[in-house]
Order: sequence, then C-alpha cells, then structure tokens
Amino acid sequence: MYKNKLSYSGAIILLFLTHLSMLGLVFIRGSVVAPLDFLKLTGAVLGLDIIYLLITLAYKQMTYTLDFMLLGILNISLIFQSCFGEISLSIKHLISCVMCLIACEAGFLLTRNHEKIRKNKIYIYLLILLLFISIIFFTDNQKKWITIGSFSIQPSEFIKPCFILVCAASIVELHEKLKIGFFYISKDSLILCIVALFIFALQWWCHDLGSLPTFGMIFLCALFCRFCYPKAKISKRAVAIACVAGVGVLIAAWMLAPDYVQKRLHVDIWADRYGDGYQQCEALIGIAKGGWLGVGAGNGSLYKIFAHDSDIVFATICEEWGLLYASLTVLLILIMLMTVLMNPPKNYYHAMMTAGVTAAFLMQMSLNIFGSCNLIPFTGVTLPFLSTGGSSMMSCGFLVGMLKAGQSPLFQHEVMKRKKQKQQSAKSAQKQRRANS
Amino acid sequence: MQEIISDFLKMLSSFQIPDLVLSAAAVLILDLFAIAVILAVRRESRICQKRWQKVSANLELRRRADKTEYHYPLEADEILLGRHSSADIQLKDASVSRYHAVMTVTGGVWTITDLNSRSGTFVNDQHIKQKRLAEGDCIRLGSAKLYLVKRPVSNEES
Repeated sequence: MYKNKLSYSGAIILLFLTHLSMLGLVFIRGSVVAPLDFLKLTGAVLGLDIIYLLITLAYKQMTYTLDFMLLGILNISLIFQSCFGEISLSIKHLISCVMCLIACEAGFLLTRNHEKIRKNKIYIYLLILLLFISIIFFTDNQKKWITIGSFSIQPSEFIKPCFILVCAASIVELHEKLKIGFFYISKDSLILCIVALFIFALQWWCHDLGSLPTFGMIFLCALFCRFCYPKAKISKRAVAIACVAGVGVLIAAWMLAPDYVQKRLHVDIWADRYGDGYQQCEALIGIAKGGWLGVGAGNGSLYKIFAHDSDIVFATICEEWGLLYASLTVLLILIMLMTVLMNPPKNYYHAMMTAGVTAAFLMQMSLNIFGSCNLIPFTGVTLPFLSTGGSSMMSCGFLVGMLKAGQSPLFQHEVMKRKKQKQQSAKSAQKQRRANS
Repeated sequence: MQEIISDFLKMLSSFQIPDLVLSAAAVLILDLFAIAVILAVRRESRICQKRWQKVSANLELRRRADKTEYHYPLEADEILLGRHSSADIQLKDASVSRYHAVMTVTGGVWTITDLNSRSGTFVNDQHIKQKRLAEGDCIRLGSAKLYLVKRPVSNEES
C-alpha cells in the first residue's frame, strides 16, 4: 500500500501490460535475430519497472501518478531506442533512464518546500553562473558539449530547470521593489532579465539557436504569469508595450538572423533533398512508409540517418511502430503534463514553476515533432524522454520532479513539525546516553 | 540451455497472429493505461483537496452585497484582497484599495496583513496591521464586510 493509502493496482497492472504488449510486438513483428538480446531487453524493462515501483513504496508523497507515467514513458522509450537498426538492449539509454528517475527524485526533494527554495535562491543564481562559465571556458570550440573521457555533458540542458526557478522566484518576489532614482525596480525581475539576456547571447555564441524558442517560451510564460499575478500591479499600457516590443523583437530576429539560420528558415527540402533537406525528406518518407501500424521493430531504414535517435526520433518511431503508436506515446507525455491541471498547486511559487515546466516541454515537443515533419523550420532539439542523450534525460527528469513538487508540496507547518520531532528525538537520545553513562 | 531458450522462442514466433490484431491490442492497452492514470489522478486530487482543507482549516470568506451572498473559497496559501481585477478576491467597492490586504495560512491558522490601505483593515471592528483570524471573525475592508466561516460540505466531498 502506498503512503497516501490509495490503491494503484489497476494502473500498475496496465503499466506492466503496456510494456509486455510492446515486447510482444517486438518479438512477433520485429526482427529478432538473437533471442538472448531480446530476453536481456525484456529483463531490463521489467526489472526497471519492478525496482522503481518497489522504491516508490518508500516515498512519502501525496501523488504517485507522475511516477507511474514517467516510468511508463521511460520504458517505452527504452524499447523504442533498443529496436533501432537491430534488437538489442541499449545500455546507454538504460543508464540515461535511470539517471532521469534519480534526477526526478532530486528535483522533487529540492523544490517541494517553496519557502526554503525561495530563501536559498542565491544558490540557483550561483549555479547558473557556474553553468555559464562552464559553457564559455570548458566546451569544445564554441560547441555546447563538455567531453570528459568517453562521457559528454551538455551544460545548457541544466540551465532550463534553473531558469524556470529564477522565473518563479522573480514573479513571487515581485512586490519587493527597490527605489533606484525615479524608478521602482524589482531586484529579482532585474536578475531574471539579465539571466535571460545572457542565455540568449550564449545560445547565439554557441550557434545553438534550436533551444532558443524553448527558453523564449519559458520567459514568455513568466511574462504572462506576471500579468496574471495578483501583486504584479501592471497596467494595460505596459501589457500593450510588451506585446509590441515582443513582435518587434521577433521581426528583427527574423530579418537579422545569420545566414545559416536564414537557410534553415527558407529551405525547400524537396529541392535540396540531398543537402540541407536530407534529414527531413528521409523522415517524411519514413513516416509515410510506416503508415498507421509501422513496419515492425528493427525493420525500419531510418536508423542509417544521422540523429535518427534524437532529432528525428519521432519519424524513426513512426516508421517502426506506426503513426498511431507514436502519436499515442506523445499523447501519454501530454497527459502527464495535464495531470497537474487536475490537481493545481496551492501556492504561487509552485504554480509558476509548473507553468514554466509545461511551457518548456510543450515547446520542445512541438519543435521536434513539427520540425521533423517539415511543418516548421528544423531546429534539431531533442524530444523529451524519447530522444537519446543523458543530459537531456536528466534535465527532463528534474523538470518532472518539479511538477511532482507542485503536487505534493511541503507546507511550512509540516516543516516546523518535522523540526520539532527531530529536536525531541535528539533530546531523548541525549537523555538516554546520559542515563547509560 | 541457450539452445532450449532459442527453440522455445522460435516456436512461439511461429504462431501466426495478424499484425493488425497485435497492434490494435498494444494500442488498446496503452489507451487503458492512460485512462487508469487519469482515474487515479482524480482520486489523488480528492485526497490533496482533503489535505488542503486541513491546512486551510476548511474556511471560506462570505460576503453579502446587493442582496446576494458571495462565497470566496480560500484555495491558495496566500490570498490577496482588493479592488484590482488581478486580486484573488476582487471587491468592487470604491472604499477598498486596489491592493488592500493579504491573507496567509500556516497550519490551519489564517493571518491577515494590511497592505498600507487607505481606509484600513478592521477585524471585529478593531483596526489592525496584522492579526490572526478565527472562525466567525468579521473582516472589514473600507465598507466591505467579509465573514470567515466554515465551508459547506459538498456532496462529492462527503
């Protein structure tokens, strides 16, 4: 029985059945060459399910559905990734999934007490500064990766959760304004604007404009929340000016974008099929080839294309598993994000945080899926949970942990109660020691 | 041992089941999992609501104006009262400041703090800057009177 005294037997049975039905599909429709490899994959999927579900029994939370959904999606992703090309367990992706689950728990524990994180926001600012320094000085030749031996880390992925926390802090502390000259300025809003500017400059410098829309969306979401926040004291004129400025910045960015971006924005993929449009053309052909039900796990041909498991992963899944299954998996991620609407957070900090996380996920998913289908310019961002990549998976896990924190927050009186209990137990232990001595 | 496993798996794979049936079954199970999770979230939200009722002492603000009774549930740990449209509880009364007072809750105890309003905040006709509230207290912001009362139990909650 879980700590909230609810029974989740139906959801857990269906979670197992989902993975078993997928493995059944792999076995019957897929190209299983080495049966032992298939057994290894089955063992890894079911093992991860059982171990994580047993671990969650020890968690003291109000809600567990986000855990089940995350576990379900990660194992679906593990099956997808292990079937590209040939059917064998992708150890790298399995490690990424485990790291994602650990990051989720870390995100939950670090953000569930909103008072504490608001008080310690200075550490978030310091962490962002550290990430900036690591990108500027330690990445290879203006690339976004830090390579340590055989491992590569993408620090910019870790800026996302920090940026969302900065956005939430800036809105909740909005009423605390400093008078500088004739102006009343909110210190946290000023920091948010500086951080946002730095992020945009850094993305420009790294030539990584793909994640710019995701950060932009988080910033826009923060701006929208600022208008809705009761203590914002914002006028209609300010809203109008912000809208006009936003449109102006967008037009200017479109006009002044560097050549390589302009090329991406105006590329005719079918005219340049073996050049800039190669990945998208192959992705679209793959989706068409897969149809509704796919060609079977491991029977696709997209695995030969560069970034088949990250940037065009949606197309690769469509080819092997069919548009129906791929769309349903994406829908499952959307349902995971929607669960927070059914149980809205009870404090502003968590509400802002939840809004930021949802905005980031929605933007990133849209960029990846619509980009690979040539509905918008191809940006090359990862599809949350389904694409390969340890940094991206850890960042996504941390973000889900933040959503969980909004669902099972720690209220201040509970913190005080815990402190009292700890003090009392420490005192009684001391007394016992004295009595013994 | 490996050969036995391989033979067994080959025998299993020799059963011919139409692709359509298999894929439809997998899709159906995925759908059912999504539905089961949504139903679980609904049950969880009821538990969270009960926990919130404990935290917020299951209170609400009630106001009578123009022969109509207004109910304001206290659904966050920080509630802003004022005339401005962005306030959590908007009181359309000229004597109420745009951002008049804020109510916060800790461990089932609500506290009201005046936000330097022009007409002041009164609890049981006593001018206050900050005060702990109790059930049945009358809060007056300008000429608007609000009562802190227990929330009626709805059918779903009961």
